[in-house]
Amino acid sequence: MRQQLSEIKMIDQYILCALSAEDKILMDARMILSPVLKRNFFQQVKLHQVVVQHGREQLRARLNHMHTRLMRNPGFSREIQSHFK
Amino acid sequence: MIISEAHLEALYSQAFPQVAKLIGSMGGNPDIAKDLFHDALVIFIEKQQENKLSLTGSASSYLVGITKMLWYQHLKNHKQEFSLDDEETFETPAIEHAQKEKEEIQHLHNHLKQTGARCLDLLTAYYYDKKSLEEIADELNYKNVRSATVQKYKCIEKLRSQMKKTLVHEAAA
Repeated sequence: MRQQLSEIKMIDQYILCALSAEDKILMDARMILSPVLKRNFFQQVKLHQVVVQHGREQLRARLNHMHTRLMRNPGFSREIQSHFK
Repeated sequence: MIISEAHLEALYSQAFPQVAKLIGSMGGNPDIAKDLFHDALVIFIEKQQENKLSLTGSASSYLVGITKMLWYQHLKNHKQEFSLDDEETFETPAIEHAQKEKEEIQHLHNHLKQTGARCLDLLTAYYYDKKSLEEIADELNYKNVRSATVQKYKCIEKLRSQMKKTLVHEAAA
């Protein structure tokens, strides 16, 4: 795997808490010495946050479809509506 | 995902009427009940996928309990009366920073959906849905697990690069 992808893999394992204690300390030291690596690390953390946002958006779309589908059942719909005046 | 579609639908059918009864009794409307219930489901599913959930009762009871807490938070957020002298109405630097970060993530998300949708879907399948690389290789037609693994890292590389360009472009504007 070329170096750039190896770095990405290392950062990935750090974020997922999958590095050994020794490798984590080594990574921390490398980030102090290399502003570029540190910048890349925080970019990847941000990307993880974007992925979570995307996942939640997809999950909410699934839930909305599920809600619409269930509410087409007259019995279910009547039961739900009965609780609101 | 750990929770199957059939299981999720069964849970939804069982829990939502209880949530509707609760929110209806507290003066809420059907839309609020649905939105808060969905928030509770997202919390439940994410905790379950991270193995951080330890239920002492039923999943339905858990969901109703979470929805109730979210309802009280909703009421607090929509409180009408406030005083200009009330310090809580002023945003602290920490709150402003958190809001700015949230907006940045939303902006990046909107951009990456346009420029890197396939990669975003692959990474979501792995990191959010917690699908195995075997499942991903099968669903997305990769030759084998190694191909899917390499593609995963290439997608991170690609999206990271696009994020950098977006942020540089915004800073220059």
